[in-house]
Amino acid sequence: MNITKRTIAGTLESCDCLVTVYPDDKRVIILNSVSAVRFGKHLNHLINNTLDDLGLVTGKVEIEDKGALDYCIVARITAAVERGVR
Amino acid sequence: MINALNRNIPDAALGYGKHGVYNGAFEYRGCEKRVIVNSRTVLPKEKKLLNSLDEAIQLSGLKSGMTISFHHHLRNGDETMKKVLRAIEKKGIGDLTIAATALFDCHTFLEDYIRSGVVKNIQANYMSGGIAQRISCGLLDSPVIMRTHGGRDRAVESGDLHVDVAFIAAPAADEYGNLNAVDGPSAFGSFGYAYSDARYADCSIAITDNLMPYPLTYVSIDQTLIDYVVVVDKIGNQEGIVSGTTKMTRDPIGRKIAKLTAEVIKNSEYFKDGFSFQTGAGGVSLATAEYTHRYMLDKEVKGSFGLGGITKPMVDMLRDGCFDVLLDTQCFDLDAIESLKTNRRHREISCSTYSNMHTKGSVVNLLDIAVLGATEIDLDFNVNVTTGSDGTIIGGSGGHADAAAGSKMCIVVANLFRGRFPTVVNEVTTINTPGETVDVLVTECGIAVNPRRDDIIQCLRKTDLPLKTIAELKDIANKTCGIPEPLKTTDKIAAVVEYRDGTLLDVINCVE
Amino acid sequence: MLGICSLFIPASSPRMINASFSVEADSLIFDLEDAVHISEKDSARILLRNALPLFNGRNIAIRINANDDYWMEDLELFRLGIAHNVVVPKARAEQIKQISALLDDMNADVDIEALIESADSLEELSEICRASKRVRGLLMGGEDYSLDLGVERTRKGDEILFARTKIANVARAYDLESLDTPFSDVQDEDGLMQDAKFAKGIGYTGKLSINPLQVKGIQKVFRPEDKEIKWAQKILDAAGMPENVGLGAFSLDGKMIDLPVIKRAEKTIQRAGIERNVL
Repeated sequence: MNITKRTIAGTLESCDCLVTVYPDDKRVIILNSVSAVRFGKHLNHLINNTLDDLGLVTGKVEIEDKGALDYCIVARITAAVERGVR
Repeated sequence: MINALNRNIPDAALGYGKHGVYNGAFEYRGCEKRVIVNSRTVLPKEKKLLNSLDEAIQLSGLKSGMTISFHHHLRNGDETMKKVLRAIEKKGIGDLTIAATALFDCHTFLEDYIRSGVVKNIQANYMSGGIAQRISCGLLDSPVIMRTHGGRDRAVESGDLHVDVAFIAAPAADEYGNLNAVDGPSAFGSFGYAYSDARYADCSIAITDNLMPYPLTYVSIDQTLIDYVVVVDKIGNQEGIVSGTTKMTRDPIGRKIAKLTAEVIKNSEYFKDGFSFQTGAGGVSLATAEYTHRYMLDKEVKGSFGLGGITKPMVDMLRDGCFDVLLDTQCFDLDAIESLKTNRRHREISCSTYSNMHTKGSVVNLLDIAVLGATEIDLDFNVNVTTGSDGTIIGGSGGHADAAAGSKMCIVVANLFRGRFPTVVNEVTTINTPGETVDVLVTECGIAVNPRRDDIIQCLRKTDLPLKTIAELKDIANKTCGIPEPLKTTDKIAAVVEYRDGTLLDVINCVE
Repeated sequence: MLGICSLFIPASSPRMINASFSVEADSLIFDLEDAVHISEKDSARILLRNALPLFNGRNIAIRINANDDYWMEDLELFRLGIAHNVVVPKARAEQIKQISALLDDMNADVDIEALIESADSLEELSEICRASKRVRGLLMGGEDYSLDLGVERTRKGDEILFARTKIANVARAYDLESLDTPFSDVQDEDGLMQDAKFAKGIGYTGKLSINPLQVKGIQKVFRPEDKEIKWAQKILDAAGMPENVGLGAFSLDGKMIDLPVIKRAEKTIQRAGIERNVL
């Protein structure tokens, strides 16, 4: 799967994250998270696994995280990718 | 050296504590003398009202390397420190130690003065905003000394903290140095944090934007403690007093915690005539006061005193007869200021009277219940309100450790997790209040009682309140949030944490 | 079944979903309908799908959309086997039959709770109750009902009185639970208690809630009092005694206990949330 258009999912509300996907010639992840200092490794792992499960091959995935729990990060990435490949 | 809470105090930090390392909340009685202070002869025709800050600094004898002090009653609305430092810099004075009672985001400008060499060291009981962040990243060469509010007064009175020049922002002053904080456009109510500095500093300079005719009718700080008076256009911004932490919570989780806490209070053995009470300034603490107010009226409990950090809910309780008296060391909002000014039962007390443990008995010793916040709490009930999840300084004990130690029952209120950070952890990042002084933790997921307090456990077992162990609460938090990776810090020490008795409790390392 | 107090949680808000972890309502209704903007229906569904596993073991309901474009996909969430109640807004008998059939196909263990929010729905209440064995409760939606009727929603509630009492009555007739419309003024605790007592007084078995702060108050009103519970337990204990089994009626503490009294005692125990072997 490849991202064909720029699209977003989620919000910048506390406990949520805003995911923006763009078309790109490779798979790129940009994470800006308030939890990065203590959950950085875990989040990168989670994001990569989620994109693998979705089968995303190319696309820039930008995540602006305001303290979201795992389920929310997975959900917002899924929604953004699904919208972005439609 | 390892202290009684298993915290390692590195050799580099040992020099900052004149009383050794922490050995227990009630173990060390400490030095029992007050220092001899300077006085000054002022002859009948001599004037104390000066023309400018420049003149005041000149006459104070301030030299490089000395220690100057400020109180934080104007909180994030302070404009005095900036004016003073500007004047000091013009005179080419440097390497100063700033002993502020607290620093806020409006003091971020200190970074420039540190880099230019005007300021070399800092001591503060609480730090937030830009300056706290920079210090956490290694801005200073030497560690900040962070004390409790009571502990700082202890240090000043015993001479551990020697203040050369105290700069006292005063909402109202007369030409001879009588001061109060209830009159004028910059009124902030109680003058609690300025007393010890006014009395014990070598030179005290009052800075006011409201010069009133001599003699001031209401006097908090007496003319015999003040060397000089200077008038400026504005000492600070009154809106800055009501900072983000002092608005009552509307969030349902916060209110649930507040209600549960009030139920714990209601069901305790202390909830009877003569009851005394203190809350912190956080949103949940304020809501707790509101619920407690309701229960006191319902059960017709007549309290003796409310203590604080005074806010509107406490003022309402006084008005409705829940307390005979409010003892006030700091006003957190405009209602408190107005009440202090107009109600004789709302009395101002010095910070030393409030919580200095070396002062022949402070008010916290007689406090029944304290309701306080927490950023982190560990399985031993040690509390951290100083550092955040990223290891940077976001606060400090303030009166936290004092109220916890003095009160008969100390209740800590907190969300079980904030964002994805658990509040209950294995070991707190920084200890500012030892677990042996913390009795109950109330979260939205349940109430944990310190096993040391079997009396409270038995009391609460008779109710249908949701009791859990602190380990159970930690598990719930971890299941929801995951477990944070360990913090990466450097060997450089950003701050040492001094307990209220002067011993060293913990150190805060700089972050990477 | 939703129990005596059910709390609506917007499925679009992670903050509110997180806050609901610690809420002690009898059930939670994750709302995919009115709480979610039309452009976010897909995103909210995905969010809920990922959040549901965290609520496994709790009593969970999902308010699906009424709109044909969305509700069929919403129903797919029940395949996860975590939510066991579907709240059907703007309930109509025909749609309930369809929903029930789809749930049968899925082999899903799911109750249907019909939300009555229009004059049309009110007119076919009996058909709704008969539309499927899965229908276990009727819910009153006062805001949308008054909108449909073209009248102002007032605090006193005269405009919804007919609908309110009819729903409680029909629910009773079909032995379903009935939950009253939410009380919208969150700050007014006394108003909530009054409203809840009124609902109980006209026969509702519980009440819907829109804010966690309302839950304890509602539960207090609808949960039987301690002495009621004790008496009910006494009745059921006595009914189980060998000397009383098989009798049409027996005496307990000077009172005559017959089948209707025993059934009422069972209902009391059920409302109190106490597990007991059914006679």
